[in-house]
Amino acid sequence: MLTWGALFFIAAGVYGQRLLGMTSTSSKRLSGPWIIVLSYIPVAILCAVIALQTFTHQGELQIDARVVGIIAAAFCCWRHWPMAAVVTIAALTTALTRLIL
Amino acid sequence: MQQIPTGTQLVRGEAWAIGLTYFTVAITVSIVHRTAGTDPWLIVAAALIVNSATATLAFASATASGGSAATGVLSSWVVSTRFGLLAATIAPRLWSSRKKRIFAAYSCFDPNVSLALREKKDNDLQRVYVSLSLWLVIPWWLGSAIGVFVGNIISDPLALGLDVMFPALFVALLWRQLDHGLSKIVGLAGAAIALGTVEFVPGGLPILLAGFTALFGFRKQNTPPKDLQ
Repeated sequence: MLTWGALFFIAAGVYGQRLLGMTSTSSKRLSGPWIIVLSYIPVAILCAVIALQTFTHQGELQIDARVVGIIAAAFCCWRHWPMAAVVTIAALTTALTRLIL
Repeated sequence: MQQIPTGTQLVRGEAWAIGLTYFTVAITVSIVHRTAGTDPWLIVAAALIVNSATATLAFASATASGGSAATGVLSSWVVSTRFGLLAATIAPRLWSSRKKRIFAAYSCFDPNVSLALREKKDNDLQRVYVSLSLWLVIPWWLGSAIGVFVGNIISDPLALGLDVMFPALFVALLWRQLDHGLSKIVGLAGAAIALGTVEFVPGGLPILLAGFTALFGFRKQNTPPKDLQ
């Protein structure tokens, strides 16, 4: 359970990492290739987060209703539907799959 | 489609979708903490101060499974390493003023970094970053506060499929960027590394390891992700 003491340590660590990243790089110090490499980091990280939040549960691989929801999200994106529709349909599909299974 | 701020690639629909998703996820996270017996004021304070769902959930998960508070704090730091990486990614194109960056660091999330990086001009990138930060942070705070009170009404957020909203939002954010050949390789390799290592290394590290796939960018130096071209 979260406590006030733990909260401050967590906050310091999370903000500290954000601050370190924000203040340790500048366009003056980075060359062209490194800027290109940095531009790929969000792609790599977001794909990893999607994979982990879809296929794992408490640190273990698991396939369940979430996979159906993400497939529905991908379908909506392929059809160029609005982002709000993508998120809503994914949630509804997952809920429905859980209800059926 | 109305652009906000004007002249940028960010459209109102995207901002609303992101805001609603963060609002809903914040409610879910509050319910999870409330169910674990956390003090309501502490949940609201965590939303305001920590500004990260994964960090507080990692702590809750580690301590609930028998880990000490120190282990929980360490877990929360490890799962937050991606924020540092994302901050380092966008920092070269933000303001040179250190004071402004200190404030900007507070709201460094995945969606605002990802969508701000679509902008060609640094000035537009900065406007989108600030605008989206507000679209993220305000719904996050509101959702967290509301979640504390509606926790008794919505007892099972999973039954509503709310746990899929985050990954679904990220799929929508990434879709256009994955149109690019090297982006697909980087994204798929990142996902594969994360899934391949998740059972063997502490939480958070799989995402950090996945970040290394960005080094493929060295192979094709002149082809940034599609939206950044």
